Amino acid sequence: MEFLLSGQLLVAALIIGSIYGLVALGLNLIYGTMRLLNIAHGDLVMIGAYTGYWLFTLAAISPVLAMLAAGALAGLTGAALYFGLFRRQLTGSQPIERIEANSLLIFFGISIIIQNLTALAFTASPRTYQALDTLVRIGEVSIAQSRLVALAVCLGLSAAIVLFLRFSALGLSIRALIQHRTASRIVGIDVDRVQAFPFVLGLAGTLIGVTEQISPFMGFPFTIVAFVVIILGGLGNLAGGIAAGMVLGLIETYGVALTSANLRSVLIYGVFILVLILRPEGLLQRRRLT
Amino acid sequence: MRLPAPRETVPLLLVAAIAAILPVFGSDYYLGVGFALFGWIALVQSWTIVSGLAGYISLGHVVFAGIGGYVLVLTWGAVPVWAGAVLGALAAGLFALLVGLPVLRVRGPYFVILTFGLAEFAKYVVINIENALGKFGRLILGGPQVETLYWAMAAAALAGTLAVIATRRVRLGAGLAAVREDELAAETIGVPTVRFKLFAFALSALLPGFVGALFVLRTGYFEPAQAFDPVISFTIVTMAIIGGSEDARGPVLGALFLVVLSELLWASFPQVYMIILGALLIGFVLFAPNGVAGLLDRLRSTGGARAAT
Amino acid sequence: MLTVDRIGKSFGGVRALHDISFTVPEGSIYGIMGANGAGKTTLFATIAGNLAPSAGEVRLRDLRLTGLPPHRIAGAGVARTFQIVRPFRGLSVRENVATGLRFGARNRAGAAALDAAGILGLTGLAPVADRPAGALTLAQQKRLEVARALATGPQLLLLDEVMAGLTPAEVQQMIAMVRSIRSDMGVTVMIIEHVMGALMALSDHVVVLDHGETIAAGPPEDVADDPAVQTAYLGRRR
Repeated sequence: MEFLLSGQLLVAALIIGSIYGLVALGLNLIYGTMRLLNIAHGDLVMIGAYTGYWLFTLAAISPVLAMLAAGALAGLTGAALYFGLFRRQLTGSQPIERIEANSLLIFFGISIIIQNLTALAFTASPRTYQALDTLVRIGEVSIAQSRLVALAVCLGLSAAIVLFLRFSALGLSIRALIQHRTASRIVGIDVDRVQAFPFVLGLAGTLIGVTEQISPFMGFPFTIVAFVVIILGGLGNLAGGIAAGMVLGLIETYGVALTSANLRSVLIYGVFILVLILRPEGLLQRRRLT
Repeated sequence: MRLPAPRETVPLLLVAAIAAILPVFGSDYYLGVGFALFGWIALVQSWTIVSGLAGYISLGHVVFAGIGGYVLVLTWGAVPVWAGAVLGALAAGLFALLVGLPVLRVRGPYFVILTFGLAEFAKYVVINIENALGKFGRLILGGPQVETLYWAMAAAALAGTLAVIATRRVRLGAGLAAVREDELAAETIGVPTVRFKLFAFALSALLPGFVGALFVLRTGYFEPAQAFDPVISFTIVTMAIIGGSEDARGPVLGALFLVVLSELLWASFPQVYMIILGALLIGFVLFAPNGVAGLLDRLRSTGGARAAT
Repeated sequence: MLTVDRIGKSFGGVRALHDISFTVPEGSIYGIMGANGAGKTTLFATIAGNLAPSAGEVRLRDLRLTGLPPHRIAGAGVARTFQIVRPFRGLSVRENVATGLRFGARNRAGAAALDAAGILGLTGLAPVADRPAGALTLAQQKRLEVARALATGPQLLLLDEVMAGLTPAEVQQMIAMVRSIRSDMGVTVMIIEHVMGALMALSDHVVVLDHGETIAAGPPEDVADDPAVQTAYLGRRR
């Protein structure tokens, strides 16, 4: 009981929650503006984690610097996928439901390819590495430096992105695009610019890689989590998504603390199923008049 | 009675012919490959009923196979082997009925990710149950011979193929097609959409339950992470998309293609096999949405047009 | 035949229909008029069961339709078309009609005598019967809406702007078709139409909706002269 009330657990929950919030923000933007169901979302996180790992292991480059390179790599991958595969689909004449369903299957294929290419290159066995592992004490709570950086970067970035989208002209048009389901057909400069987002995923990936096990298949849980979060927080509601990320982090951390670590996946998927069933139309989607 | 069309006779004959030919080689290897092929055909045909005909794409069909396998090991020793396999099928069907009502209210891509989540959820629940029971994998000793399992699976493949053909012919099939095209319009012209979807979902769960039980009998081993492996769901969808899911031909063609490919690659280059799988999925979704069966139709119709001029 | 009894419908506080009541006599053609957003399509959706009304009920003779799922209402003999067409795009025109024939009303009335060929002939779709419905022109898709609804063997047919977007010649064809549906098949028709002339020419009786409320009802000539209608509906259109 004492453990449950400890600051240690709360900080752990906040760190996970801030990561979830940032990762989900990307899915919110990409799904919101383009109706592309990016199942490979988490794999860009994985790419970031590996980049950080290799730069540190081979060249002793600190994750703080490596995350920029990781961001660039994830950004390039994302942009290549978009311009190579999806841009044409979006500008075509297919109905939006078709694009959604197709994009899901295509991204699933991409996800499998990315995961197995990684496994082929670096084997499937999980890895960890020690960087930024000095313990920092804040009051009674002691946290590894890496986790603190993750918390700061994720929260800072999320806030910066939300504020940017709220107050810039680009942000206004992107948010308008998210609100109007059918308008996402009109693909222009705005949607192209959303492609910059995977940069953030690579960045987050590096930070996750420092704190958790790295494996070719580590990304998928983040995809699932991102879906839970955007459905919880409301499609297109960027700030709501970050709050929902925090909520999920709390549910997960305290749920596991109350039961057992084995139940972590049961918990996440349980929330996932409930949220989807209770909100069958996705979210914040007005029923069409017929 | 309508005369059987080629799209009905071809897959039936193909399955029957393969079933008759493989044992001629007289080696357990070919029986094993045949067993796997028929298992996939049965799975993909079943999937086609709810996902091809009704358009509710399930990315979690492994859950039914997993349940079938789990029921088999749970009843192992308590009931005869085949009764255990049939119970597995019934349990899978029952599970589909129970979750179907809320799950089938969810549409389009949300249904796809929901079914995936549901299967993963079931997997982790079973893992936790087994952990709590202190079981880390269960061995099944003294199951049926390979040859017996081979014929049982061939029967399942035939049953699945017949199920798709029959469903397409009857009122249920017409109703499911209407649901796929436009659910609101379907219910407005009198299709009992809720009942039909639920029935199709349960129907599409039965055989996978049976197949899952046979998979366990074949490996002689039950391990939840393997029995509920999401790669199985993924493979079902890929086979259906490569073969086509308009009628009973697609699943046979898709399964045949991928089983041969996997025989060539899986053992030595599992990752390469998966990469090719992913690439094929993307390629077919983008360029041949009706699969090999659709390509064959297109070839025949342009060939026919050319012959006519 | 059809009684609409104090029907109301609101969407999250926005009132789309308020206290609508009227009775459609058997064998009549009953017109629904009103500006965009007046609640006409919402009214059809509440009759056909696609939307549950927030208040009131709809009865077909003695049968309470409100609360029944759409397929049961279709089974009771009510068919509707959609203003924004919803054909089964991937199926052929013939299959669209066949699906209607296979489901639809339990006691097939009116159009019961017609088979697929008859319906395709009546609606002028026979030449395109084997095309996928998604490949038809808009005018053809509008006729397919009617054909599929007729195939369900309805006693009451709800037509939602089946003439919008059609050329004058096509409108004349459609008018003739609706008349024949009523007189030759004995199907009662309710019709929403923006093409005023067509509606006035066809209907025995007209109801005018404005902002979800009935502002006038009666024979077409009386309604056309009604001052409330002139200001609320015709006035705004100018």
